[in-house]
Amino acid sequence: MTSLLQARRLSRAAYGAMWSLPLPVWLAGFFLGPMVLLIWLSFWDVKNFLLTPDFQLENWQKILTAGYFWSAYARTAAIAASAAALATLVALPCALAISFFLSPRARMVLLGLFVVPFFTSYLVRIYSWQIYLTENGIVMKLMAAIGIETGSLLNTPLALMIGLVTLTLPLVIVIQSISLLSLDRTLIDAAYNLGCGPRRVLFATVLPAARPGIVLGALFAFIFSFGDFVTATYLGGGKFTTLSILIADTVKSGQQWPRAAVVALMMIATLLLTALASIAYAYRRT
Amino acid sequence: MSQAHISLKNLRKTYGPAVAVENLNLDIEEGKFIAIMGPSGCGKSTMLRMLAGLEEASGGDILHQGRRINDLPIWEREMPMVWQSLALFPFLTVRENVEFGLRMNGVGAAERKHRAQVWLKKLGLGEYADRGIDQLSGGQRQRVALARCLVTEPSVLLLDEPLSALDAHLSVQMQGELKRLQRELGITFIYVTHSHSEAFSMADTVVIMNKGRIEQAGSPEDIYLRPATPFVAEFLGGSSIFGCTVRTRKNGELVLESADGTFKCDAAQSSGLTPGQNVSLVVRADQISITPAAGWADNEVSCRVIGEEFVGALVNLRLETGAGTQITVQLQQRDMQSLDLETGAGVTASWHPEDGHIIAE
Repeated sequence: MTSLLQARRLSRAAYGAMWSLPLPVWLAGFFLGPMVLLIWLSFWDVKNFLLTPDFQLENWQKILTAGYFWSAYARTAAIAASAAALATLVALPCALAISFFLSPRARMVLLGLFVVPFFTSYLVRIYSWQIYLTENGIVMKLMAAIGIETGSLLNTPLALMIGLVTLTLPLVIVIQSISLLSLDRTLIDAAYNLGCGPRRVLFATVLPAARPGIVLGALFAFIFSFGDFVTATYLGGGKFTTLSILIADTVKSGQQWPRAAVVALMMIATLLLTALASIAYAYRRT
Repeated sequence: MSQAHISLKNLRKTYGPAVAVENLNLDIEEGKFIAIMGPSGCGKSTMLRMLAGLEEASGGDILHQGRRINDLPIWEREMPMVWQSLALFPFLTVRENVEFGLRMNGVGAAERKHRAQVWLKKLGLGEYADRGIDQLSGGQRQRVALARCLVTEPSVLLLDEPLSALDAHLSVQMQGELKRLQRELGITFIYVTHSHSEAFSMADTVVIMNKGRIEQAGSPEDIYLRPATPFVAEFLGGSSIFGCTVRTRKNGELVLESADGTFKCDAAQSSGLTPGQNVSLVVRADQISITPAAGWADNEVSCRVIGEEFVGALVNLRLETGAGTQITVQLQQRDMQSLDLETGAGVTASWHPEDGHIIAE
């Protein structure tokens, strides 16, 4: 009797372990392991273009005191923050329409359509933007047709924003829509009931209630934009040196993997802090 | 004649072919505690939502102090509601929740804060003003929901099953507090519930609804002693209902014929009844006695015991007659013990002729 019970308990534990196993394996193999390697690498040395295991602080010193690093850092942060803000503002009316004004059927179709962009490679989408924005490209000709003369739009901040919003907008819309759809509609009724007119209800109730989703959407947009290499390279033309471009350059020039590791670790730390701060803000009460 | 505070005149609500509220007429006096009761789907919540403006009436009028408010939008009705889910704003602190209605009505920040604090204190929440809603207990949240409504000093408060989420002990405590608040403030409470104990312990007037109609409206005592329809008697529970036909009426006594035998009844309440008419005879559980054998009283039915349930010191004994009528008898625990009954045992149920209540069909 007892042994039967024990056997059952054991088999249940084994079953649980079977499902839990992939998580630590995955974390160890693809996250913690590389992370430890990256940290270790940042203390190595490069001698005659050869990586040499070492423990020295020179890489950190070099990068953290370099003006070019901090200017790239500030530029990257500014670009990512602008892209996150822009994606959030563009997505919000769409998400509101999807959540409040569409039939459930139309909502499903539309949310499905926002997944379609992910079917084509991001690189392909950015290349096609290049054709649109280039000297004598479609956009420039269209603008000229309505009497606005522009030069090439490539390698401008506008091109950067277009590329990054292309990357992040679908995701931001989906996250915001899920957040607005799961909002307790009674809260809106309660606001009306307490004298809140329909013009104020958006800012007094809907947006504050959906804040976690809105902040989370912006956070994802920031994370993707902060680490993006494709848009900065192909729509910015390398004119705007971001941290990703800096990493590529550092590796290419003289095999400086350790210094690139320092830049990468600084990026990871920044994103970690941004994520923590955003989540704290999302769930904070006003 | 004084004007009713709130009047519903021929109020209707239909969803396509489905009728939620049918031809409702009700006058609510100022400063009264009205409980609206009925089984789920009876239209009680729909009625409340029409009052608040959350649902549009399909027909009829809603009058507030004589003024028709059917077309007034929700945000101008000034009828705050305590919601079943409470619907407190999770993104605001306790104080900000209470201030919300004042803020929407353009009250300045300093006065807002002062008035919110007064109400928070009054409801024993003074020290929780800066907490979040998720840091409060169920009873405390309940009070925040009340304070949020009352701070705007409305003349009427709507309550939609506000206590249903609380455990029994807390619910009873809140019933006392609600009644006290209503008396002190002297404002009209319109309280929707499916709970008998809530309705009967607090309300001045109880309205019983069924299938979109009002079955009976009256004082709790009135409804308890004199149910107007078989539905009311059945819904309140604790009564046995016999379907009867009037046979004769003489010497101040009414004789009724039923599948369970012939019953005598006090004729005082039977004006207008004619022989041959179908009526329901309602006898409350506390008015029925049990004897082991027949031959002791006027109205006797022999039954079989089918079950019993203990309610504190009382026992509800469930009986079934030969004709299949269900009878409920309320006994003291000690009487039950002396009777020493088992399920399936035969007993005789009886009651005095003056204790039967007749409902004409």
